[in-house]
Order: sequence, then structure tokens, then C-alpha cells
Amino acid sequence: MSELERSSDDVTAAVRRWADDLADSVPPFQPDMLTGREPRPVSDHRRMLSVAAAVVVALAGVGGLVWVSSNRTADVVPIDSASLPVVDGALVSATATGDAATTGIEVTVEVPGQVLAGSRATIDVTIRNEGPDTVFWQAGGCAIPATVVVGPVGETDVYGPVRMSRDPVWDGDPATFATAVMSAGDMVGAQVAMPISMAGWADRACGANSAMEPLAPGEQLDYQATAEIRVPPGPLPGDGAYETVASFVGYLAVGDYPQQPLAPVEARVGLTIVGSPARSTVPVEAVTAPIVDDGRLTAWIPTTVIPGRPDLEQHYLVGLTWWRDGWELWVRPQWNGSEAMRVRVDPASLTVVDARIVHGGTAADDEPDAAVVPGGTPDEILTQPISPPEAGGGAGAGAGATATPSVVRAGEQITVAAHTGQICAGIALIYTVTADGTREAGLLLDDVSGSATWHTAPEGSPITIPPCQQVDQQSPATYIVPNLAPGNYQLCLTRESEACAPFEIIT
Amino acid sequence: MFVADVEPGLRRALSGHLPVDLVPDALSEAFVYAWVHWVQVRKMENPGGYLFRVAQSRSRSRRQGLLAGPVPSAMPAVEPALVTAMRSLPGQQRSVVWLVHGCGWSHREVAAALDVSASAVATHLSRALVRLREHLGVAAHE
Repeated sequence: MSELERSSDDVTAAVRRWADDLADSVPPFQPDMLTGREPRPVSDHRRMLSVAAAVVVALAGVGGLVWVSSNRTADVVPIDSASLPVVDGALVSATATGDAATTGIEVTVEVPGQVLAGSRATIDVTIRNEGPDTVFWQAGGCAIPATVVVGPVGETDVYGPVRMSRDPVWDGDPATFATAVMSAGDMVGAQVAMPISMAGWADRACGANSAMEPLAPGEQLDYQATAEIRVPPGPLPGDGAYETVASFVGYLAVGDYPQQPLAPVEARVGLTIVGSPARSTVPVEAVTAPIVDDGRLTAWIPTTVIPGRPDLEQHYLVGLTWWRDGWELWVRPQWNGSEAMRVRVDPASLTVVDARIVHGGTAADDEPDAAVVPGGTPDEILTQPISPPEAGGGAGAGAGATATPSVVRAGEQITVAAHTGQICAGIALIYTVTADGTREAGLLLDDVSGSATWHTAPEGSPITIPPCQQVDQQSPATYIVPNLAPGNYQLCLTRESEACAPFEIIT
Repeated sequence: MFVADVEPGLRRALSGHLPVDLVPDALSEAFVYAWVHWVQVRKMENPGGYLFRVAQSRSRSRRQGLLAGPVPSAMPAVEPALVTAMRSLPGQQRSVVWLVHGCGWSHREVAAALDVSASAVATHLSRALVRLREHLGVAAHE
């Protein structure tokens, strides 16, 4: 410990000094950056954003309306700019106290009073024993002390997943897709909130058992849960009038489980769901049509057929909801439903911006607040199959990139510098080079932490890679050489063959 | 006037959440949003907190959540071990410490900015300070 900090007060003071230091190192924002009178020190796409925003402001000033940009503008209903919502972050809470039959259990639930559609709500529940007797609760499985449900007022007893319909509603035919999605939208209602430790998961497998925990007089349990406030296209369910219900079921003795529960103690608090500013009123078809046109969903459907079981006619659970400032479609096969396809559609351009297979009922890997599943299977990001570079094109003389060293062992570092042009951000493809030509070996893909992970495709299948975001290479990229057989390879930083570096793996 | 009031606090908050080279872009994003939604933003009790969320959500950098160290050329006013200790905290705890003690925000303001409850802020803060004390080997100052 230095002389500078000797107490926790000094620790907090040091944080403040650190903030002083950092804040002073950032140039202050100049308001005239917004007007374009001075060049903005930001990247081009952000400058375009500002220009676009200024155009929107101008439109709003002239017409009082904000239009959501779209290549299907004829289908999009304008939003009155005066009605754009503001979310009040204030918390609301309610407490319910059980009667003598529940031995004085007190349940308090606290939520934000307003939640933006398509965002995650955090719910705090406190269960306090104000009675004279010890009460037991079922702490087996995931040790969830209270069931918490969020949904439209009056529908919170309908527990069900909000991501997808509760029953298979689609037969896989593109012609019936829009109808199925609309049908599924009618089912979007309440959902059971998940513990924070399972944030983002669609399913929770919490086997109840006889593990009972006491809640002694005067003691309390604190439980934090999270709910995804997904809403379907069209008007908000219940006009946005939602409620959160937290319910605790206790037992007077361990042996009373599960046959003799005490009466549930249920705390109920209202909250308002407000429409996201970016969520315009679009017809379902305006969202489903580009998904069908995109082709990735329709190409995936045949792969879900169960081989050798013609009796298992495949149908699908579907759900199209507003989530994190965009439209998100989930499709899960009725049979072999351990995988689901997730498709995201940009609400402004109404184009598919991401399609992936998510395994095991968890959140997609790009879900920022999701709980990580230990040992979970990574998402399969679906792109159009790519063609490998022509034999020799990119390797040897004239290659568009250089690998250093050019002879390496598996597990060693290799640094690749592109000579010209742009590269795909976060993507590196490795090809096996033989006398017969080149073939894909696998893909090094930057994960959210910035380190690269190795992905391969099953033998005989084309590898799928994410969309290419072209950037200038700022500095040579360094990778750990994957565990490949000795031989000649090339590492490409683009989807084509412009920036490929030949290298050799030795034993 | 609005920018003059809000910008220093917002810049300070964002400098603990993004690499400093990305903060100017994030500030631009936030004030573009405020401009477009001025009718709503001007009525807000805590527009800085709301714009902090806007800037966070629109900063799609993978480097979000990284806490830059003190400027190397600055006076050594910050205990070096604190940098390591702060970076070892879970993201939510780190954000809460930064906003409460680095930026002087109230628990309620932090709760609104991070979309958590005020009680969660208090819990995160308490746990974070315990971990920081342990890491730095200091006792709570009574």
C-alpha cells in the first residue's frame, strides 16, 4: 500500500481523483459539432448518423412527424414525435403480508415503474418472516425462493415463454410463415422471470427436490430476478399496462413438502411498458417478408427433419418480438428442439442483420446481459457459403499478406500483416493448401473479449462465417496457431483471396 | 446551456466505461439523441443519467466496460494497485463504484442509469468496496 491511501475513505477519494484525471484527458464535446460547422472528430459512419439525425430533426420541425427510415416506407406508420416516450427510472414496490395461515410471511416486490419495450427488467423480491414460527421453503434445484411473473394485467397467471409460441404453429412452409408469426404474436403474454444467474435463458431446468431451508422469525431472503419485456408487432399488449407478481410458498415443516404448503403470499405491483422510440407500427408482413427473402431461415428448415422418422412431421414454435432496438425472430423445431434459429431484423432498413443457431435454450452469444452457460455450445452464425480461394491464389509469390514466422508449430503465435486493401474485422480463415488446391480448414473468430477462438465445420460441410465488416488493418493481427496437421496452409484476413498469407505447420 | 450543464458529468461517467479514445464519439451520440428527442429530454429530472444509457447502448464497441488507467503523465495521485483492483471487480460493481464515488451520482441516479434497482446499487457498492479494501489491504474507515 502506498502512502496515498490508508483507509477506505481514501480509496473512494482515489477513485474520484482517477475520474478527474480521465475526464480531463477527454476533449470536451463542442455543441457546434452537431451543426457541422466544424469537422467532427468521429468516424465516417457516425458523422453520417449526425447528418441523418439533423435531417430527422428538420423533418420533425416541419411536419411534426418522425419517419422511420425504411425501404418499405409505404407500410410504415409514422410516429408523432410528441408521443415519443420517456422512461422514468423511478422504482415502485408493493408488499403483501400473509395472514395467520401463512404465519406472518411478508413479500415485497420492487420494479421500475416504467420499462422500455424490448429491454430487460430487474425485479427485487424480499421475503421476510414476521411471524413467530420458522417457515421452510423448497431450496432444491435452482434455489428460487419466489415465483416472479411479469405480464399484462390480468394475464400473469398464464406462465409461458415469451420468445416463442407455446405450441407449434408453423409447418415450415414460407407461404404460411407470416400467418404463423401473427398467430404466435397473439400468444405473447406473461413470462416467468429468471434468476439473475440465468439471465437471458429461455428455459430453466431446476429439478425440485427435498432440500428445504428454514426462514426463522425475523430473517429475510433477498432474491433478484430478471424478465425480458418482449412485445410483438402492433399495439403493446394490454396497452402497456403490466404487473409483476411475486409469490412465495412456504411450509411449516420439512415433511410438509410438497403435499401441505401454506397458502401462497403474493405481492403484486403495476408497471407500465412504454414503446421504444425506434419501434414503429409495422405490419408483420413487412418484417417476415425480408426474413423469407433472405433465405437463411428457409435453407435451415430442411436440416431440421429427423432422418428416418417420416412419422415425426416437423412443426415449429415461432415468435417475433421487439427486443433490444430491433425485431427478433425465434424458431424452434417441435422435434429435436435442442436448437433454435434466431434472426434479427433491422427496424429501419427491414433487412436481416444476423441469423444464427442457438443451442440448448440459452441466450444467443451476442446477448450482452446474458448469463454464460458453462460448457455451452457456441452459436452457429449463418452466412451464405463462401467459395475458397482458387488454388494458389494468395499463397506464394504475390500473396496479399505476410505471416511471421512462416513456419510454426500448433499452439505457437503467428502474426499476419495485410499488404493492401481492407480486411474483415475479427475474422481469419485458414485454408489447407495441397497439390489439389485449397480447402477450408476453419475459422478464427474474435470473441467478445477480443481473443480469437477456433471454429471448424463438420467434414464435408461448408464453413459459415459472420458477415464481413471491412476495416483498414491498424496493426498486424496475432493468433495462436490451431491444432492442425503438419502441412501447408494460408491464413486469409478477407473472404476473398486479397489478403492471404502462406505458412507451414511443422511438428 | 444544456450541453454546458450536462457534458462535464457525462464525459466523466463515460470515461470510466469506455476507452478514452471512444468517449468523444459516445458524447456525440448522446447529444445527437438529445437533440432529436429534445422535447422529452428537456423534461427529464436526470438527463445526464439517461444520456449515459443512450451513449452506452449506442457504443457498440467490444471494448465497452474497459476502465482506462490514469493518464501516465499525470501526477501519481492514484494508487497503482487501485487500478488493478478496480479492473478485477465484476462489471456492474465497477460501474457503480465509478459512478457513485468517481462521479458523485446518487444511488437513485445510478440505478436509473444502469437499469437496476437502488437496492441493487447499494449492494453492488457495498460488495465492491469490501473487495477493494481486501485487495488494497485497508480497513474500513470508521
